[in-house]
Amino acid sequence: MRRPELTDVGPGDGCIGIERLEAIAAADDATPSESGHLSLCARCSELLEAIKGDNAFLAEVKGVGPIRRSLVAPDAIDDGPVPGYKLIGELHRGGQGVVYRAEQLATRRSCAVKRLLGGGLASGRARRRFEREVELVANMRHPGVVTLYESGLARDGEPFFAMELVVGERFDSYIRMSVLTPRQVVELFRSVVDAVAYAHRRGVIHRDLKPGNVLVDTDGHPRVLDFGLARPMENSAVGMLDGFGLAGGETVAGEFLGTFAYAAPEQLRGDPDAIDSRIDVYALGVMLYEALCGSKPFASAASVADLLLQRLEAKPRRPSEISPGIDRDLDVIALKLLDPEPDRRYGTADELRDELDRYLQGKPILAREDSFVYVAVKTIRRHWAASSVAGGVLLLIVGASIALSIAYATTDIALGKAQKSLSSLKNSMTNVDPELGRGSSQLGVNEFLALVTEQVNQELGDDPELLSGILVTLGLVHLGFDDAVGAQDAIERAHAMRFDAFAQGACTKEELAEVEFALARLRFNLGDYTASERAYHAAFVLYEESVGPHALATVETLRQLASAYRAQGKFQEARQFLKSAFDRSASLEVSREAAISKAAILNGMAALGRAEGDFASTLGLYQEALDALAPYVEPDDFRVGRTLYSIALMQDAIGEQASATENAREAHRILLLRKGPEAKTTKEAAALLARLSSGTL
Amino acid sequence: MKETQDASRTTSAMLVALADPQNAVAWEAFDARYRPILIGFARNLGYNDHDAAEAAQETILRFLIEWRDGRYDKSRGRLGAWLVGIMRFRLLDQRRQRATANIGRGESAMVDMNDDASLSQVWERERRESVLRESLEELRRTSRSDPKTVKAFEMLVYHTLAPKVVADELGMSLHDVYLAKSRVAARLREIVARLELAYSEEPA
Repeated sequence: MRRPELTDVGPGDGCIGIERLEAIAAADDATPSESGHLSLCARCSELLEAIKGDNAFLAEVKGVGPIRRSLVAPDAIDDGPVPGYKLIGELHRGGQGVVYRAEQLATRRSCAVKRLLGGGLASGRARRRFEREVELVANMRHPGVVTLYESGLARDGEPFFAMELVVGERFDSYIRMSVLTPRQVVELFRSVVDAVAYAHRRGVIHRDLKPGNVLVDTDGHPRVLDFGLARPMENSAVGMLDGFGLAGGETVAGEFLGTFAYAAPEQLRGDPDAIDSRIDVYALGVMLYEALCGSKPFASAASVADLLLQRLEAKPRRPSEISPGIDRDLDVIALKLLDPEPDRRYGTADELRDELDRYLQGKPILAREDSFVYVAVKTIRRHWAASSVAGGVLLLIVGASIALSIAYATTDIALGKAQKSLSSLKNSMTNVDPELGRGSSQLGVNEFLALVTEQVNQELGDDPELLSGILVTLGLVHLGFDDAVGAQDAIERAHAMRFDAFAQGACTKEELAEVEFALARLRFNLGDYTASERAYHAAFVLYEESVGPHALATVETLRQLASAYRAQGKFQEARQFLKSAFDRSASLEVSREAAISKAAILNGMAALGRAEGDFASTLGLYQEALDALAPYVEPDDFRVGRTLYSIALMQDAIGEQASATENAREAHRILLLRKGPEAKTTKEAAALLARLSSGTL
Repeated sequence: MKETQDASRTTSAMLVALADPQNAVAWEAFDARYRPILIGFARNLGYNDHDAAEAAQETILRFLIEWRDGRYDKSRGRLGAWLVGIMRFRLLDQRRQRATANIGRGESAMVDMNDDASLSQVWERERRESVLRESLEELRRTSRSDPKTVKAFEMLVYHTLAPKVVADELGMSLHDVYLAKSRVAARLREIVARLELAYSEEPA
């Protein structure tokens, strides 16, 4: 039905006039005769409803917030919108503001006027950012930083500021056009660094350094522009900064991609703990590299996406390989600037400038002394992270125990108590673990676990951090015995505790990842695959950000995430994740856990193929999985049992009944031993064996 | 006009365009659409402007990485949940940092970050506001009505002036003031309906 319009109401037709209808809609005060008319006249009642609808709609619109900018088109440039200045033309239009070439009327001098772009409806943030830029630049006096003349409000009430007009060329095109030796490049670059160092000393990080923000003026002096994204360092005494965006929390659309090429990995990775002045140092590194080599350090990137990946993983080529005439010291400096680890870069632009000075004076540079101890420590830590990730249930227990003991050893938490609890827990659990406990899975494991859980709750109730760790472990052990109900309480409680602890800074990303992972497994076992997917996803992000994209825990989480997708029938996504997990598994160090993980991924890929009815190649994948597994596990490991079961299924499907029966029998034997007669997988194997056996009779 | 195209582009079309990582326009459009919602979302949860903006930025970046990895599930209605999921951790991370640095903050207004239902409510509110804001922008940009009509609407709705005052001020009849209100509301509704469609994540 067409919505009636007010114009539809003609005068003199006996209907209620618009003004009156509006009043009725506003106050609901129709007189008896109006009410009577409204009940009879479709047109009037529809109009009244339409007005009421409009009013409700407009109330919602108004709720969006007051508009500061008129809905009527804004003034044109030549109306003199900025008092005291004549705007001559637009120099640059960015996401945040427009820069005009202007003339200061009182002095007749040329200058640049920057105005906030479209204050209007959502300008609170932009306005604050704009004001911050004014504040920051106003306090800086350095030949390498543009000078601010004046700031104020334009006629439309929006802020503006006038600054020195720098006539010059972008840093990169200046270098391209001038034929400079590497040494001359370094000399020019040093001036940029000096200006940035000045800002750093004043507690300001630029955050958006790039060639476009450095102009080389007609005297050949570089000038750093656009502190619109800069942010004061806070709490700089402890080296932590307030803020960690790619290019400032208030970066706007147009600048988003442009800044990518100069963004440090910790910005891309979203690692807030690592953000400080070294992001400027990194950006300077990209600029130096580009200036020396004529190409960006990751120039081979085919796309923004590749660039991200490379930044995190690849090493740029040495500048001397690209551009002759660059010496080893300069190589070292350039690559040190681009180190993915902030700790290994120069800490501030000041340090970098001093290093450049040493280089220019022919003195030994400090970067060459990159300490062996540092490298050694890093390496050990990296391996520790990988090795402490538990593969099986037992390893989870041991891993968690060790990790917790170590973690708490450095705090003032009662270390003795923690270690004692953990070691007794570990001892108890070892006895019931299906991998070592030889047949003990039939001895009321779930009841025993429930007792242990209760005991732990009592003993550690006043120590949520420790308790949550043990609860996760217990929950996972419950799950290991297919006891989702028993696991639920432990894992959910652990999750709640860790979640709070994380918000309080009392738990690391990795620890939170661990509990998210456990929660995901729980949800999966309970059949809530959407919730499982969500939790796996959270775990994945957290792992990737804490232990890294190629760590075993990350790969494992990816694999499980794929299972959650598969369980929801989203095969395409599942395949993508498995593929990603498989690719990543190639870079895992050779170990038992890595082999188990790889086998599991192959199993997952096979299961997908199976769902599509491609039995022959699926069989191949299962056999590959078994081959990957065999050298690292005992012949009657439950994973061997499960894989054998799958192989038997496939062999059955392609008509190889004899081999199928043999494998099903072996699978059943192993699963019975390892998982007990009540486990789902054991029952499945038993059913298959029964079916095959009856077929052969 | 580029802006208009971007604004009316459906989210799903936008996502398709994102598959080409070099499509900077698509990324900008995506960023322009979702960053304000994320910021509003965080502010609604009690975060200050700065923290909200930071977390929004991190979230967009994270999404970019995930999109590249093919980790985003395109089935209907999931984008918001996915972004909320990312945002939640970014915000938690900030709180964690603050707590570590012993910076006291009043957090009584915080929504329970562990409660999916209230998070998606906040998200939905923000998304709707964003649609309305964008609609108003478009109305301003593309208004074909005569300025008096729009002005009357503005005074009536935004400045909450009495219709009589608006009529006197603009030299219009009361009838015309109401007519202006009705017309602009209809136009705005139209824009809102179109943008709602564009924001929805149904297949293009």
